[in-house]
Amino acid sequence: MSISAEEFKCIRSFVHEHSGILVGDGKEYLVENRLTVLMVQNGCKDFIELHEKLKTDPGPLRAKVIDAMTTNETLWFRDASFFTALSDHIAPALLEKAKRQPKVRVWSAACSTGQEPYSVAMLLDHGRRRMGAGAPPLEKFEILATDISPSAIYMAQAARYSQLAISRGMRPAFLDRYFEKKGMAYEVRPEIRKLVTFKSFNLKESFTSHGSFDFILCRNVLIYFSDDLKRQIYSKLHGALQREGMLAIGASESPRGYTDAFDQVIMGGAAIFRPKSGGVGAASAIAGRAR
Amino acid sequence: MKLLSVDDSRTIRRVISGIGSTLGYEVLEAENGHQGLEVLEESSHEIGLILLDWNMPGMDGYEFLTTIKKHPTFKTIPVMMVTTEGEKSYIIKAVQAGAAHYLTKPFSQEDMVARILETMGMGGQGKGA
Amino acid sequence: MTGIRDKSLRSALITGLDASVQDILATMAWTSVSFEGREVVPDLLLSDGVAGLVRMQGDHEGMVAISTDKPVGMELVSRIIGLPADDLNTEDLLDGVGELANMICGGMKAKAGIGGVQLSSPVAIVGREYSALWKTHLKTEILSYALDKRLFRVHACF
Ligand SMILES: C[S@@+](CC[C@H](N)C(=O)[O-])C[C@H]1O[C@@H](n2cnc3c(N)ncnc32)[C@H](O)[C@@H]1O
Repeated sequence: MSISAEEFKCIRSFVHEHSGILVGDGKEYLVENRLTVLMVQNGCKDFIELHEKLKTDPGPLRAKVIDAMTTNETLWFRDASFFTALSDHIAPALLEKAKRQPKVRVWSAACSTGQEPYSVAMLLDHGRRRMGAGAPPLEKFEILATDISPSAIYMAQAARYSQLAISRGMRPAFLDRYFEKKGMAYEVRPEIRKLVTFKSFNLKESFTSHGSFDFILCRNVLIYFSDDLKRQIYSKLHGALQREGMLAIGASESPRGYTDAFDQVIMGGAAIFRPKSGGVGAASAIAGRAR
Repeated sequence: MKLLSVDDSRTIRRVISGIGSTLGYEVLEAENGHQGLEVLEESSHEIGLILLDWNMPGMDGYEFLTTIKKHPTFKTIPVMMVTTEGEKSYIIKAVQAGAAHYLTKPFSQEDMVARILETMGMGGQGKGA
Repeated sequence: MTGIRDKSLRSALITGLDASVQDILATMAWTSVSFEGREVVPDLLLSDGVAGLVRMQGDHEGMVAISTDKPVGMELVSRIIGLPADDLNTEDLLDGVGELANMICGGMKAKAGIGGVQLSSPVAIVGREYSALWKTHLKTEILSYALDKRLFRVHACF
């Protein structure tokens, strides 16, 4: 009754072609488990038929298949050393920049259900409070947060987290300061939510409409992609960074072998990447779309 | 709108309640199919989605599903199976009996949210409710 | 029906069981365990503080059980439902451990790709001192995992 090798191959190549995600060997059960419902509901007797349908009738069915096949696991302050780097090095640098620049722009490029961009927003506010007088106002910061999964984006926008989601990495002091209890859930406070704009966006597409950024987080997503796609995305990330910009990737990831356009800098135990020959000119710093 | 969780495990019912409340939905609970029908008698008009286990003592999930799909008013309420039974034959059986979604345990919170939102519609009650 | 004699099926089940344990603890309890070893014993014999058992029936017969001490059981259940361990009572623990056994066994079935097997409702045991014995058809394989230096065991009897 299990999925055949041919069916698996069809679905796998479809998912890869449209999202860049590589469904690993031995993940047949994942395909079967997540897509059988769509198969039956669309009147298909096997995944080959579903694949045929996908080719001729893309639109909503395609989105459903991609949504079902993406995993958006995430944590607050994912990876301790990265968030040390963020609070002790990156946030202070961005705050300094905000004194000189009209806007400082951050992009969380695979934001999942929002923990990552909200964590950044909280740390920026935290840093601002530590700075005391002379700290730039929060309005100077603009955080764009995108993900391919519409349901993840929806969750992120709702900004409500269960006790369970909160227990995954949220610090008590931050919970008190940045959340309001609403029934059984916790809701991110408006001043933090205001900083973040969410959009669905596929990293396979062109980045040009987003403008350029002072800091980009592209963490724990390229791991699902093929080498070729990794190369393309690193190059697009390079193009989207300001000259002094910084790129953060997942703790287990490395751009080595895909690009040599970045210099590695160790901050608070985490590797951060800076564009070698300067990203975009500083003049376009604020050319990015306002909200 | 509310959700109804029909599951003999209080652990799972609590996990589902937590997820529901995150999205702004109250979650009603039942331990088996019989109790589920009782809840529906009372409050079917406010239930937007039923999350249904398969194996339960008393009336099991499949019997409950086929029963409500024959009922004049209950039949319109979408049902999502939430069960450890992940075999393709089970999935097909449930979908043919009218289940709108099928989630196998273990499920990640994000997966469940995605399916709930698909059924309840995005931009529904979740946001700012 | 007797135990599972087919070697490749047994090994598919054990591999599936291991993957299922890791998967369930990661997605439902948000924790990871390290594999500590595997042993084979004649019968299922449980004596840790908490246990959950699920019976397999149909084309293949057997039993899958988990066992651990009470603090680990509490910790896992508290992570699954997202409430502090202090707020849990014995019923919560019983239900949580039973559900864990249920999911682990279900996950094993899915990952090993076997059909035609029904799972019983889980049985859970919590107690300071007990022994439980089940005469296995063939033998019992025990997979041990460590969670913060404490043991979490999975017993596969078929
Ligand atoms: C494991 S999560 C990482 C979340 C977060 N960055 C972190 O590190 O905690 C991976 C995310 O990448 C998203 N994703 C997968 N393919 C994508 C694509 N082609 N474009 C944009 N996002 C994608 C998934 O929807 C998922 O939310």
